[in-house]
Amino acid sequence: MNEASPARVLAELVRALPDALFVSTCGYLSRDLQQVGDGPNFFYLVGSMGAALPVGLALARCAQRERVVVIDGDGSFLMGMNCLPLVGAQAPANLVHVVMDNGMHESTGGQQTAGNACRGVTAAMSAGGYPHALLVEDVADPVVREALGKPGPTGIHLPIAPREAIAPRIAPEPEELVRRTRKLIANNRSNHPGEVGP
Amino acid sequence: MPPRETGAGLVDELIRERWDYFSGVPCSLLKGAFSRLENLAADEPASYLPAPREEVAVAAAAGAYLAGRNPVVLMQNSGLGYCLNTLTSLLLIYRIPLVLIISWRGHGADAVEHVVIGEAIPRLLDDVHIAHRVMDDVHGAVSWSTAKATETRRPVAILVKEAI
Repeated sequence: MNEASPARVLAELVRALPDALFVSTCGYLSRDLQQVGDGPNFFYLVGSMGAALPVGLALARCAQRERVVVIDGDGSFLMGMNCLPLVGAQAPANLVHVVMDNGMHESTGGQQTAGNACRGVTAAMSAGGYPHALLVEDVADPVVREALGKPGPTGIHLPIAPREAIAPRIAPEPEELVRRTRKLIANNRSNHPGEVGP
Repeated sequence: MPPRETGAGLVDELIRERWDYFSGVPCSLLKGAFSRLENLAADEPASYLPAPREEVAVAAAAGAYLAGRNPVVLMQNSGLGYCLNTLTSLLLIYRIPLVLIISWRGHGADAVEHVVIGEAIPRLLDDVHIAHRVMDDVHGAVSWSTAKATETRRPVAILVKEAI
């Protein structure tokens, strides 16, 4: 398999969903996302491994006009798997859950995660109640576009290559990340009144 | 007030103070509060997410706050161990206000699994700079936590010693 670099995959995801809110797991994946072009629609976790999915789930349920994309790695996915049935039960149509899988904890030195256990990512998502769960090698694959056109929650499992370079740390202070994302969502809401939250 | 009415009254008072997003993991001491949350009417200005683990509830609270909601998380003190990192590396440093309703098992003689955390809980909260107080009356506890969480933009905790 000719796996893509994480930077390229993230750039393609942002290009495919330019108006979405991205919530990214801690470590290198958030740093890679920042390199795509930082903005208020990117909410990076600098810690709290495994928390990206519940943050994104609540965000998707409380801001239903937004599309929310959770970026997990294989390590953080395994930590947060207890959330899959909750996501299935809450069934946010506007949530996309991406697992970028290089089979290792690369941010901490490349330790293996669960030794190929991630073969079951899409099966776990389906068992949790995601109506769509795809394993794809390329974001440009037409099945991705097709799945994103349907109501979610949608799971996408993407094998990726190890990194060739390490991106810089997250630049904005955590408080600023909160301030700017809250402002963006509030502005979007005032431009589209009438949203009802759960 | 009978215990169950106190739990429901606590939720009602929080909703009156515009806390509108609830999540948590149940404790028998908080049965009345969870019962009220499970029976929220569709037209009430609040919602409840039943979390599988306490760190999921706390992370969901952060996501809800991003969307403009005011979160509350209910748990047993055993759950503070599970979610301590989510509090320290997410809510505390991102400055997200949150009301924690924490039942205090093991503050006196109790089942053995509650003894260590029961003795340590006030110190644990002090050590990570989460302001806390024991719930005496519902109104006092809610108005204190509302003022404190809003003013500091940090999590605050109400410790519940008796069944509500």
